[in-house]
Parts: sequence; structure tokens; C-alpha cells
Amino acid sequence: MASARLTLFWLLALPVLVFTGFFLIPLGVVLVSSFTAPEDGLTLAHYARILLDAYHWQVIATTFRIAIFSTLICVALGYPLAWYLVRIVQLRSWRRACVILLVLPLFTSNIVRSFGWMVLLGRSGLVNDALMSLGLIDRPMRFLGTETGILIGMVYILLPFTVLTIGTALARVDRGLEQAARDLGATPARAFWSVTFPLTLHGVMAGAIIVFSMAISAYVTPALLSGGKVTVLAMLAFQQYSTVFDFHYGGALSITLLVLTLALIGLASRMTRGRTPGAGGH
Amino acid sequence: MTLLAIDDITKSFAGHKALDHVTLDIRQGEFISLLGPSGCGKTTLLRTVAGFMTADKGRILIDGEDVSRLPPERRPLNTVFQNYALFPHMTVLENVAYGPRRAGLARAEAERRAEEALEMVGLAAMSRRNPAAMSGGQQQRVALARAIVNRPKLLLLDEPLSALDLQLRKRMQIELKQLQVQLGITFIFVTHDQDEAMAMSDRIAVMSAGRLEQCDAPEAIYRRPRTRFVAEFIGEANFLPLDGAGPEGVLRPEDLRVLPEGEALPPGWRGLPARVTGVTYVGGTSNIYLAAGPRELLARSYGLPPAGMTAGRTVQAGFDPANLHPLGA
Repeated sequence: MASARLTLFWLLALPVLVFTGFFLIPLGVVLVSSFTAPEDGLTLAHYARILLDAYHWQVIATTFRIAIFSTLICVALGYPLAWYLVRIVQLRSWRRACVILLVLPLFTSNIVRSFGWMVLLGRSGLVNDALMSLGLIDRPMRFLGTETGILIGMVYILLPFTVLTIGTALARVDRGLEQAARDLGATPARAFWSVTFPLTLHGVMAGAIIVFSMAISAYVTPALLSGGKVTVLAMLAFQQYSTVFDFHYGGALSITLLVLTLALIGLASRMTRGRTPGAGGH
Repeated sequence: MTLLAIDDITKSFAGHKALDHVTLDIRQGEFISLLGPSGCGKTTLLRTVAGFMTADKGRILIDGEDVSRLPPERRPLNTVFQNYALFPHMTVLENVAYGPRRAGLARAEAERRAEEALEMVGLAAMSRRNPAAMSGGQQQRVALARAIVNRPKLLLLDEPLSALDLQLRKRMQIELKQLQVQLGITFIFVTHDQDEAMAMSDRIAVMSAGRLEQCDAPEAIYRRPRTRFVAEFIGEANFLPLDGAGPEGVLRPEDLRVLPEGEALPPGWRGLPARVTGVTYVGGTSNIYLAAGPRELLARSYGLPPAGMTAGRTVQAGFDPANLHPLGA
């Protein structure tokens, strides 16, 4: 009995130690350095420099705009894709091939994929060529160095996460429930919005939170596709750490990003919580 | 008056005929059971009537109107599903109010109707509960309340009692029947349990391999089965030649008497020599298994088996030929 309890203690203690050592301590270091300065100890100067400055607010706004749009687009595209995979594809081998196609890009580096998009989105890249030959535009559109370009790259990288989380939720919804709704007089659209969608909302939220938190802290894709013309918060923080070596100001930027992200996610999950009673237990 | 006309319905899945020219007229206010072993097509027929499947051939008419091409939401009927299919993200009240809401009622009015329906199935006190937190029997009642709240002309029940334990199932059979009489709604009840079908139905439609074998009142199905399949599926049957040789008839076990060798038969009865192969006593009735030549017979009587009736004994099996019903008639 006592030895079993001891075993349990170690089994729990080890992961806790790893979590503390590799996750909490570095975060603590960043947090401490953001509130200190080499000369005058404890200070709020770094936060004042960020929060009292219009340029920083502009960067924060850009960061959130890109993250929010990435999330919305990923959910809007991910839901129909997940529907296709779960509900429409009958052939198991084709479904498996689709999932592999979807997941495969995740095995390659962000940098490689972002470079790929630089080639595709360039002035004489594939996208502009296609649009021009279709006659949709007569001059090449500028994608690189715009928020649209960054958004395209982000959606491409993050889309699999929403497809997977929504697909998992969708596969668990009993199709008999939709039939019951139809039987009770609901049109297919009404059955979807009143039954299927609420029952997959936890998958939508999970996907949205993953995409949002990855988009808001993304560095590589915005850095490569911005061409130096668009700046997001992660790029500012990275500059402070890598080129200016100001760990205090850089830390304050990181903590600002973290706090704002947590606040937004908390708000979003509070808004949806009331609407899905019982969905979690299913 | 015919409420539902199933007119020559045929449906195939990958070459396999699930429904084979099924024609059946169901009257207003009738309680009809679709009875058969699994895979006989009874659920397929129910789903075709509900609109979840389209027949390859044939028509479904409700009140004379062809509904074959209508989607489920536009058919004047409701269904109690086998696994209940209650919406897990809604309370009991919201589940039951779903139908009235879709019919265009305001929330307050829809909820009032839902309360009424819940009252009818004895669950008025549980309207705020989550269905997942209820027992199987209670969920079954919620599903029933949800299906009757809109007062459909026709209620389809897809093996609704199969998940319940025996005691509860017996009680629900009586309650369902009472509810049906009280509401005057036509019930089509799918089951594979012949006792259930016998206990509840005005008529039983026996199905086998996609075909409708016979549709009759329970006693007619039992006493005058038209095919060998029906005779064997409903109760137990002895098959004996009608007169010495030739076509066979059905004799129910309770119409077969076991008499000691040499005892005189009642006038007009037929007798055949047999050997007892086994005797069982099952609370109230006893079964005597007999072998008459190559034929195996079963005789059933009330009370304990007659004294000395042990395996191996030679006896005579006697019956009134009037009880031997010819098949196919």
C-alpha cells in the first residue's frame, strides 16, 4: 500500500518537475526580466514604453487582426473540409489519403513552406499568373508585404488544425440526431444549426484556440511574407532578443502578447460556454 | 378508413432485395406491428415510410396523398427511434419542445405543449433535467413525448422497448397501448419480439426476407398462419399431414394431447403412436417432446406433466383434426 503510494508519488512528481523545469522557469525568467532593469531594479518602464506608445498599439492591432482573421478563415474553411472528410467521403482509403495530405505539410518546416508561398505570391508567381490568365486582373496584385499575403500563408499552415479538431467532433455526432430533427420538422439547414453545429462547437472552439494562439505568436511566416513592410508583435520581440539584446524590453513585449492572448481566449470561451451544456460530456 | 397505404414498395441494396413488392394498408387508429427476424426488412420499411430512404419502386400514400417524394420534415408523422436519439445538448423540455418550435409555435406556447406531453408520459417533474442523466426507461418516455407532442396522424416506433429490461418492457407495453388508445394515433410498431407484437397489436404484419408473409389480427396469425414461416415464427408449431399423407397442416402444441398407449381417443380424433423424448415443466405449463416416426412433436398442457410420463415411454398423441389448420389458406 505504502509502496504503491510512493510509486504514484514519483510517477506524478517527475512530469511535474519536467513541466516546472522546462516550462515555468523560462517563463518566470522572462516575467522577472520584464519588470527589472540593469540600473534601477524593479520597474514598470518597459510596459510604459509599450502601452503608452501609439506605434506599439498599431503593431498590437495588426497582430490581433491577422490572428483573428486567420482563425475565422481557418474555421470557415475547416468546417466544410471536415464535413467533406467525415460525411461525404465513403471510401476509407480516399479519406485516409486526404488526412495524410492534410497532415503532411505539418512535417515540413514553417520556413520552407513560407518560402514556397513567397515564390507563389510573388509579382510573377503562380497565383498572379493564374489570375491574369483567367482575366480576373490585368496587373499583378501585390501580395508580398501585405497583410493579405501573411494571411494566406498563415491559413495555409494552420488550416489542418481546425479540420482535425472539427472532424473529430463531427465524427462523434450521432447522425440519428439529425434524422430525429428532420423527423420533428426541421429542414436540413435548421437541423444542422440547431443540432449538429452546437454538438461540434467544442471542436470548433478547440481548433480556433489552437489556430489563434499559434497565429498570434507566429514569427516565421509573417517575417518572411511581410517583406519588412508589416510588423507583428512577435517580430518586435524577436528583434529585441536577437539584435538589440534588450531582454527586459523584449520580455515585456512577450508578456504583453501573452496577457492579451489569454484575455481574448478567456472572453471567447466564456461567450460560448453557456451554449453547449452537455456537449462536453458526450 | 385507410390512413397509410404502402403500395408495391421495392428496395434493393447492392443487389440484395431488402423490400420485395410490399403492399400494406393501415387504417386510421390502428396499432399495427411489423414483426420479423433481423434483416427481414421491417426497419427498412419503417425508414421508407418516415422518408429517410427512397424506395426503388412503389408509392407511400398518407390520407390519399402521395408522400413518396417528400422529405421527412414534410411528412405528417413522427418517429420514436430505437436508441431514442435525444438531443444531448438540450434539456428534456427543450427536446420535447423542438417539434412544436419547428411547427412555428412561439417558445412559451411550444413549452406549454411540451409540458403537456411530458405530463402524459409521467415525466412532468423532470422537464429541466438533461437526458443523459436519466435512466433508459425515462429516456424512452422522453422520446415518446417528443414524438407525440405534435399530435401526428401516424407514429412510427422502431423497436422502442428493445433496450429495456423485461419487467420495464412489460409495463411499457401496457402503457404504450393505453396511450395509443387515449390519443387515437395510428401506431406502426417495429419489433422482433413476437410476444410483444401479440400483446399490443390490432394487426401483425409478419415479414421475412423483404416480403410481407401475412398481415392479420394476432389470433388469426396464431390460429391460421398462412405460411410455414409464420407458423414457426409465431409461437411453436407441429406440422402434420392433413389426411394421412399429402399437404401439411399446423397444429399448435396446446391442441396436441398425450394419452397412455391403448386408451380410447375422443370421438372424431386422430391418434398416432409416439415415443416421449423429453419432459420439461416451466412454471404453470409442461412441455412433452415426442418423436412420431421421423417427426418431432411438442405437446403442451397446464399444470404438472401426467404421472409416469418419462422419456422413452411409448404413448399415443391425439388431436382433433378441426384444430389442424392447412397452410396457404
